[in-house]
Amino acid sequence: MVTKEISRQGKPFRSLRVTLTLAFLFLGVVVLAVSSILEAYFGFISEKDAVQEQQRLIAGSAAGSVRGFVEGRFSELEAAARFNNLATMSPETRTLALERLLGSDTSFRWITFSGMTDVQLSKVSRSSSLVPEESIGERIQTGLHDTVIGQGKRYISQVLIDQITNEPLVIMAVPLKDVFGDVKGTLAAEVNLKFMWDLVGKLTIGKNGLAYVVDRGGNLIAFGDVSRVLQRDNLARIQEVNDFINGLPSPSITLSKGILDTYVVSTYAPLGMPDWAVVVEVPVTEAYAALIRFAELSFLILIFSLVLALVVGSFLSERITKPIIYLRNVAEEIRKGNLGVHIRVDSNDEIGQLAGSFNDMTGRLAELIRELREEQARLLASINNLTLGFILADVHGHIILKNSAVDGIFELGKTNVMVETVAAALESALDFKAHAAECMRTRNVVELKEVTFGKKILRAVFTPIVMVRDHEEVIGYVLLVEDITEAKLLERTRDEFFLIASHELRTPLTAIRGNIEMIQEFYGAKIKDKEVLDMISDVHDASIRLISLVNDFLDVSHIEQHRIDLKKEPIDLVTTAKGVVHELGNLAAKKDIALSLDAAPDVPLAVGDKERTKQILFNLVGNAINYTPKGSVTVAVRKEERHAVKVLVTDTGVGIKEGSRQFLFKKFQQAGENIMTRGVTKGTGLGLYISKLLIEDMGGTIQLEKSEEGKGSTFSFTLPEKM
Amino acid sequence: MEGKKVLLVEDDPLMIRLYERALTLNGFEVEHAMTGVEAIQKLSAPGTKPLVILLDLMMPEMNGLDALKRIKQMPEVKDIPVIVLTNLSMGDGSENEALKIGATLSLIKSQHTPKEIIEKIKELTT
Repeated sequence: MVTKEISRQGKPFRSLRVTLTLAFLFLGVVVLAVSSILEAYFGFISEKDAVQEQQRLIAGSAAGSVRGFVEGRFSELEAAARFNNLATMSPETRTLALERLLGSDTSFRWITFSGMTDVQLSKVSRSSSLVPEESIGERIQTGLHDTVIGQGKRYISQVLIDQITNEPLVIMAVPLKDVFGDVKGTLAAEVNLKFMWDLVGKLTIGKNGLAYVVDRGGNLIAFGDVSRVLQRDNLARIQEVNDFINGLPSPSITLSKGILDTYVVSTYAPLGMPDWAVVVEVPVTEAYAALIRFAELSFLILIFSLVLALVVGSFLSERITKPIIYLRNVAEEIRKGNLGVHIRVDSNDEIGQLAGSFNDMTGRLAELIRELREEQARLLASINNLTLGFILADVHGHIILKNSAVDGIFELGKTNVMVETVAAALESALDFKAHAAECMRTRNVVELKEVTFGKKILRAVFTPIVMVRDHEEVIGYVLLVEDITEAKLLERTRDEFFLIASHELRTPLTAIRGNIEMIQEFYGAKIKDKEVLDMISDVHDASIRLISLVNDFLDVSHIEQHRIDLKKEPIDLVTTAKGVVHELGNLAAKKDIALSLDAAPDVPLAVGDKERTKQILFNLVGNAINYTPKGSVTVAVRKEERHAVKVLVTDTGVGIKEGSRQFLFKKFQQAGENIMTRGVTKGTGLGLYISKLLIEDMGGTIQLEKSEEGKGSTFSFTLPEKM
Repeated sequence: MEGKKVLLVEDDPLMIRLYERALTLNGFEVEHAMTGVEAIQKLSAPGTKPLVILLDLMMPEMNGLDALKRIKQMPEVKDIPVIVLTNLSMGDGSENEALKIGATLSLIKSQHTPKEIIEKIKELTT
């Protein structure tokens, strides 16, 4: 549940503690790794120079040793040539001297002495099989002669290979000079280079380094491992050797494969004379031992740091996340509904503030829930005390809430209050589902004015419950059921009363009025007694008043119940006014009142019920004549703003008292202060009330424009203009 | 006054006498029927047909609207003008119902004096 809550975006749950620990770990490792790499890099840069310098020194020293070997042989030959007058001594003596020289140095294989013409004057050899002429070829002979005889300089041949032993050897020669420095002959010797091997093999190059000598062709001349030399190994594949072969200047140390096919740091030093080079190799591990040791140390520190970061990170993240996890757990408690929890976080930081806010929030929440529950209780009590049946249902028609009035209306009884029973009772009474569905579909109130349920007449109102979340959504409906049986019965009784009143009152009244009228018309002349005629006239007036009273009562009743059909026909109000003025002309004339019409020329047609409009105008003009003892009554018809037509009825009558004006359009009110002081008025007092009801139903207005006591009044009404 | 016959269909004696007097005083001959059924019988009988029929709407046996429908189905009398009389104003247009069926006029008794009704008959018969 918590996992689901927390991993809303579909990612799996990962504890904050793990994240933090990993972050600490990552931070430690990155810092350390970057510093180590930087240190190693700069260490390598400086170490490289040191190694290079050291290698050069070693190479130089090795070259010195090899050169020393060659130099030593030359020195021996030159000493023999200088101190013994070999050119002038007897051949026997000379041979003896040469033999002594041969005996003193085992590297000499043979020694010869030649005069200026290259003729060998003396020759000593270590073995009788060695023939100098064979090893001294034409080319060497020429080179030797040119160098020694021609230039008076030392000569050393290229490396030669003994055909039998496969050993490398060189021919060395020095000039023999007299006391004047003139060249008198040549002292030549064949030097076996294997004596140089020991020298090279014994060179100490660091701890595990080695050295070897190659000639200009890349052939191995001297090396600790003799077999490699005897195999006449060509080392051109090695980079340093190749550099030397190609005469590349300023040899520098490089990291490459050495003679033993292992990675080495090597460099070479050319000897110059002879044209060889000494190559020294040191294993990488040795050359950069300090650097490697540093790397190993760094690695150890890294491991140690990792462990330390893990421990410290874990500790720190626990400290950081502990209150958060605590808050999480408390929030979970709150989610489960336990609002009584109180958070105790003492830290005076953001988490402490968060805990404070949390406590405030739960407090406020608890308060809100308590308020809601109170509200709910009040509402429930109100609903339960309603005389209306109240049913709250969800979208599936399940009843969530109903009040006891429902049981009463549907006669369910206390023991029988199952939801299904109510639904069944409703179902039998009205097409419950269809109306509920319509209500929820249209989101409008569905009202059923009369539903018969057994002997009862019910009124039912479905109201949708719309909830606004992301969008408006209908989540159910409220059904109000009202038992209107009694009200309906009353209404019917009233209707029947009016029907009876209408017929039973009117019929005898009609008979009274009709007969009196005919008495006046056909028999009036026969009645001589004026008193009797006056009485008959009074009966006639009384019958007329009674009839209008009944008619007004019926009118009010019909209009109030909206049981009249008001037509919407075009009305020429000028013509209507003309008709009313004409019809009431006699009445006005009897009272000597000037009744006139004042119609504007541009009056448009109005819309309304022609007969009813005439009735209203009749009422207004009739009133005006009745309340005007002398003077005039004027009917004016005007076009109004906002698409209306206005009719004004102005009289010069008694006027209406200030205090009475507010009752003018009320039921049964005439403008008298008191029901007992109705003065000269006739009628029911319903005329203005009926006029107001009618005019408003036709979309117009009626009002008292102005009135002044003793001077007269102006009433007006408007009707909408025909568009 | 032969030929100026009016058929008065009315069940209330007070009204019968009122309209009979008014019509007679104005020179009309009055034939009278108490119910719609009687009115149909009188109209079907041989003899002079009335010039105008005054028909009350609220009567026993056959009410005025039903009687009016029957009258309008009778070829010999369907063109005779019918003035419908009633005091039963519900304000719901039931008076207009009679005009739709074929009545020439629909009048409310209490709002029209006998004299006015005679005026209307005279207008229709001249």
